[in-house]
Amino acid sequence: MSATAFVKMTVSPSSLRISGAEWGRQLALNLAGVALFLLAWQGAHVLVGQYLPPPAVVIQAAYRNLWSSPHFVGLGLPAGGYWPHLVSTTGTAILGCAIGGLVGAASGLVSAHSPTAFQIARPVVGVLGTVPILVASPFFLIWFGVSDTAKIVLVCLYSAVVLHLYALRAVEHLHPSFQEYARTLGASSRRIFFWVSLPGCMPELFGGLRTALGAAWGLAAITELLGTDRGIGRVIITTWGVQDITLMMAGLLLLCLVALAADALLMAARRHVTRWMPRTS
Amino acid sequence: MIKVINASCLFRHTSGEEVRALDDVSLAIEVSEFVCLLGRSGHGKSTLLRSVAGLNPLTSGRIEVDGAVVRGPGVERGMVFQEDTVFPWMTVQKNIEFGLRAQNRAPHERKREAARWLEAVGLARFGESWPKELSGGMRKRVAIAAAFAGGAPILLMDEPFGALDYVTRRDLQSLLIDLWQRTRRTIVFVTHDVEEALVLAERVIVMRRGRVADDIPVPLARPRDEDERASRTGVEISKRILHHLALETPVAAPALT
Repeated sequence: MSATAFVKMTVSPSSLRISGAEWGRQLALNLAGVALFLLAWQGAHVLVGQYLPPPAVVIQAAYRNLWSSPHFVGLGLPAGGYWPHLVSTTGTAILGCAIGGLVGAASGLVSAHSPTAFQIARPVVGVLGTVPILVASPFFLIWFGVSDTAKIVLVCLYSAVVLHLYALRAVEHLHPSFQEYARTLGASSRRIFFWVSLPGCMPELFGGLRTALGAAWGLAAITELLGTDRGIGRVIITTWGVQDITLMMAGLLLLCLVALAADALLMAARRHVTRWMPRTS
Repeated sequence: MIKVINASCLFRHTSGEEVRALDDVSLAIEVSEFVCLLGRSGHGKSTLLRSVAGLNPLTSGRIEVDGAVVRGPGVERGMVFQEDTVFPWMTVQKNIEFGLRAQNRAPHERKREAARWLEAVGLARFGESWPKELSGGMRKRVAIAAAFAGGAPILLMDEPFGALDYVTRRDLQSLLIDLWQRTRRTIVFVTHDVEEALVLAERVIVMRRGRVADDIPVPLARPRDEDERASRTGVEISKRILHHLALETPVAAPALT
């Protein structure tokens, strides 16, 4: 039996470790994928017409309106182009994920070790995990007002539930022999938690964090659509009001780029934290 | 010295059937002995070992180590598991230091001990390696070094070499005997392999249906190579063990059509 058979791995293609020549080949393929996407977009523009502006126009609009935009001022949006909205949505997604993830991982790990905590947390997580979280967003806007708090609480709640469930599963997948072995060497419960359970659960916790962060962008943007003063969702709904599809798509494009960058950073952190794990090739 | 006194352990299957994993077992193991607990699967040898380790509560009876009743795991009893318990998220060095770190020993002392035991198991150059970079046999060496480094005068081993190939298993048996002769720690070693017991043990305790079926001294010379095990005494001991392991007289099976 291999050392790591006990740790169920969540290896995605992006976390594979690769050598120099292979890296060049993969980059070429990735660029080919991007080119294919842009080509399809351009083709769709030819078919649909003015309601689907071509990539070059959207990219140009995103670039020109990034720092300051005369259009936005005319629409009643705060001055300063896309930038302050991007910062707001990004802040919401990352802060919500960080706080929610921390709370969820902690409650999940504690539940996995204490039957009392498990029984208390189960119905709460059950309800929160079943309610479609987007349906709850109007309530948050009523309770917290049109503010960043409503968005952050929504992302927080979702991330907490996801991380709680991932943490529970992570402990379940960690072989009990690890804990028994640590006990025979004289480790206290607290140390077993920090030296055995926590590092052993890291691969799965990162998997949960990735799921939560991926959903956080959408949750933040959709709460912004429903009502807020800042954020990419706010820009999209406002530019929709004047049928400026180019500006709508430019906002979406910028949000995608930020989300991709955040995911890449998260994966880099995961590679470092779980560098002890064997990489499948 | 380990004393097992009228130890019994009952498990209840999901079917409701009661199983006596240990049935009124009493025995004593002296300091510096190398004892093999031998028996077929499900006849109580692992249950007994885990009870001595403090990982398995008894239904009745008690186990004493140097006069103190066992109520849970303790640093004077180290354990090597059949499963690979080397922590994959720690380097080899950190793995060996784990027990000493858990016992709040000073960093320089931990380093010195780790270096000593890595050397002893032939992994001196691998301190900074991750377990994933080692073979199964090398990881077993890490597990053994970690158990010895933890400082326990009693080492409990639950079929540690069960999953290894034949040659690797023989290498590790030699290593273990070498370490035992140099340290004179008490070793209780569970196995279902008669040859392994003859290679390792000073004394073989045969378990059958949760009871001690036989307690056989093994007065063979070391090293216990093929010739030594094929000696008259060796063959006699083998036969005596195999007799206890033999199947029940088979009941006539109904004909299959």
